Amino acid sequence: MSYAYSTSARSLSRHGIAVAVVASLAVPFHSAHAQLGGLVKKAKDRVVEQQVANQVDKRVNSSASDPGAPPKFDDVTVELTNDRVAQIIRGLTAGRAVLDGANGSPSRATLIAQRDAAANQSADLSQKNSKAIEAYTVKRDESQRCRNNAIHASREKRQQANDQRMKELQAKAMSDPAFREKAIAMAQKMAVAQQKGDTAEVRRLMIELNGGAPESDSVDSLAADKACGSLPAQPAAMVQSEKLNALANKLTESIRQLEEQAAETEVKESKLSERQYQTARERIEAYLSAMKYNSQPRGFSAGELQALGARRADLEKVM
Amino acid sequence: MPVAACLGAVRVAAIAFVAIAATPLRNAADHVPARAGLPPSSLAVWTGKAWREWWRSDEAPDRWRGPHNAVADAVRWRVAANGVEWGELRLAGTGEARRLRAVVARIDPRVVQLRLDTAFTPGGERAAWTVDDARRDAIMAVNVGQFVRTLPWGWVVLDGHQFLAPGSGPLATAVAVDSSGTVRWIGPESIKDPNVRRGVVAAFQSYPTLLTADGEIPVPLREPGRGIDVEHRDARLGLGALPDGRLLVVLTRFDALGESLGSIPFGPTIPEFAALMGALGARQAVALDGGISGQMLVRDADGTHLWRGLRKVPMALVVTRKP
Repeated sequence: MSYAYSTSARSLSRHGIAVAVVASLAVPFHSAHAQLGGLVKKAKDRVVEQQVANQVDKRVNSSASDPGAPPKFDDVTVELTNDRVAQIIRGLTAGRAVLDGANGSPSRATLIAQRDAAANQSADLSQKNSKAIEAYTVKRDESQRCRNNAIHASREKRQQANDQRMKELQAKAMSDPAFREKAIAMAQKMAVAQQKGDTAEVRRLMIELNGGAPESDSVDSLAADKACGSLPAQPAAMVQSEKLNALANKLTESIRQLEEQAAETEVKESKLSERQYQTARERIEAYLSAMKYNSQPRGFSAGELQALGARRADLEKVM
Repeated sequence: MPVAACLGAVRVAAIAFVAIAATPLRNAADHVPARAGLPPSSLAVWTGKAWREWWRSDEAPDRWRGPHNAVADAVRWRVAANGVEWGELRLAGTGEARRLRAVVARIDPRVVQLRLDTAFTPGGERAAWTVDDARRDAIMAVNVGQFVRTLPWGWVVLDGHQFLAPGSGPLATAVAVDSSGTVRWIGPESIKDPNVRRGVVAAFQSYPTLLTADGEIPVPLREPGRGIDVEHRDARLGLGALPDGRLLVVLTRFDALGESLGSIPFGPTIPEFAALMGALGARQAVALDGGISGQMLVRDADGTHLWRGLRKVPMALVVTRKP
């Protein structure tokens, strides 16, 4: 049965039963167990398995009497005493000050306002110039398709020329012992240069062996320019809109950095370790959430409930 | 029989059983010799008839090569919609994790559409998404990523636009969806390459990585003192990749007195949770924001199932039917 909140009651479906039957049939049966020794061993295994199962049962069921008991306090999960709650409030207050611009940088609220202004301006520009932007997009896509075809054709042509050149060199190596020896010697030199990580020397030797430098990839771009012309220029509004989007992204990053600074300050001012602080903070959030919805906070000691209850209003203010 | 002898016998029996239980029907995990490392703990699963112990910290595998039968078979899968299944399993661990429930979902990104939804209060003062706010056509929704105060940590791409720049960390994993709907898992090194980030329509980052691309448990999760708290217990939420490309979502809940206490942040340790992801078949997995943030929604023929969190979050992964 599922313990999830469900909008309708449900029972074990026929499909579930079928799956369970198939699963039980699908368990492989080891041949060793078919023998007598295997059966005896299997019986012993069952006894041992039952003993372990009983141990687990005991462990599992012992918790039923007090399911909301506090966790085991240790170096990470510390008990939230009056002093510790005060330390955490101090940390949270200091963190909030950082978000409000106490360290000299713009406040979080200012950064959010600037970011939203940039994003809205960008959206406004895009909307007002939608026809021009759409026309540009169509023209750019056409140009891009033309350029892709031209680049592909140029590359094919170069590849064919390279293949032809390679065939000629292979034929020469077969028929010209002097060239063959030279090629082997240069291959050895290349291997040495490669081992040394001297890519410039490898390239030099390759050019020498091939009898000239290969054409650069820029040849393909030039061929595309010749066939299709350059890419159309972006409308000014689009350029401006993209700049504003970039600014909005930058401001979002600044907001995140400020939040990280605030989080670091919270930990530092709380005088707890980072793990202790984060765990304590999370437990306090759980406590406040339970209180907000009028439910019993679970997983806290009596002392913790007292300490948290006494500072609840302060915690709600700074969380 | 003296008590000490009884306890001794139980202990021997327990060790013997663990040896049997640790031999999976399939070669699911690479077990390693015991080492001074993880604090003592174990996990058992309710098979429907009995508790079966399937993981111990002193015999924790370094790598999961496939699911653990006892754990995988304990889930009774139910179809929520084409491409989305869900189920639950009961677990018993150590200490506060003595009664746990794990809610699991399998999502086939080839069949459904994945999107990221965000929500903030007016003025951007606070994160504001909860499962109760999930869009009406959501088949499944779960909070994703991590956040410091309001904004998500790390890389966020929404509708093809980068909203926040990537974060860095040795155990950070990015999950990206490209325009074809394919889900890519991007590690901390690859994320630096802008080419890897091209063509992405939705993405987020989270930490720590629970399983690397080949089912391996990262070293910091195998022993203390390597930057991950391997002892702390909390409610956990994770996203994994199954070998067939489906996604696996796992949310743990405290399981005393049913779901009314489900959102209490008691649960497994990170190494235990990594083991659970591996035992359920994930080859790659990353933790999401669990604790009081963890929340999930599934809609099926029976209605809407909600596992609520106690905190509002900035971002959620929402699964809908393909248009």
